Amino acid sequence: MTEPERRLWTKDYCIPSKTEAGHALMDGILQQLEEYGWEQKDVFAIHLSIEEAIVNAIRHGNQSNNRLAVQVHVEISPARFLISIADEGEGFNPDAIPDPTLEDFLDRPCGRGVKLMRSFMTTVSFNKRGNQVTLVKTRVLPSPGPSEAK
Amino acid sequence: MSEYRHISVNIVDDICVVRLLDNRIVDDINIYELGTELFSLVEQAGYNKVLLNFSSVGFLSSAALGKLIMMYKKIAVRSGVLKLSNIAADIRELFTIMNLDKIFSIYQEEADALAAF
Repeated sequence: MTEPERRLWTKDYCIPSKTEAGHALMDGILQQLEEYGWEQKDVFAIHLSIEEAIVNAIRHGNQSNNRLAVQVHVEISPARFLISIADEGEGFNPDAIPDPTLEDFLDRPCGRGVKLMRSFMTTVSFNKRGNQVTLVKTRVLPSPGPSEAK
Repeated sequence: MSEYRHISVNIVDDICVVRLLDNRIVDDINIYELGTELFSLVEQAGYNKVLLNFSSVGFLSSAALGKLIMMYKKIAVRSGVLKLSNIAADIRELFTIMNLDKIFSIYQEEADALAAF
């Protein structure tokens, strides 16, 4: 097993449907990414994507109902980031969202977040019901130098 | 002059130069208030040449982009002009992904944008 695979940080969260709770959770994840040496550009991409996904879960999934929770599972290694976010809503069909970059849909609020997630992450997948999204971002680590490769 | 929480406003000739003050534009209430402040420049104060300077902005969400699109539309129906400047490279990428660089006139520096009105 290589060093990057060995160093895996995982955490599970259950937060109320309040954006403040989502932001506190994100701050902890971003700090962990920096500790694992993720570059600023990737941290920005992940930050933006999880911001959109968590806000979607709270606002659209759980309708900001404080009695409903958002479940979050995170895995961070030096080469791979994974987050799974599930709400208690009815779910939605991500393939039915109109393309928010088309002129006719530019001023519609729906679809921008999913579009940004798909652009910034390596993979974005939804469960069948559409109430859980899993985002993955991978990066290629530089090869160890001759002295480190022993 | 109105009191603003999220923007500072400076009038240069007939151009309303607006600096966005928040580093992170993500919070629901702040985005709502920012939208209200920006729209008041067009709807109450009557400016139809507006420049938004993003030099203080390090992060924004798609909800904030929505307010910018609404601002663009409010100015466009008055045959006005909206320009943007000093956008960080990461954020500029959002505009490109969302095709918004096609509708917004984006400049590297405030002076470049002012010269283009």
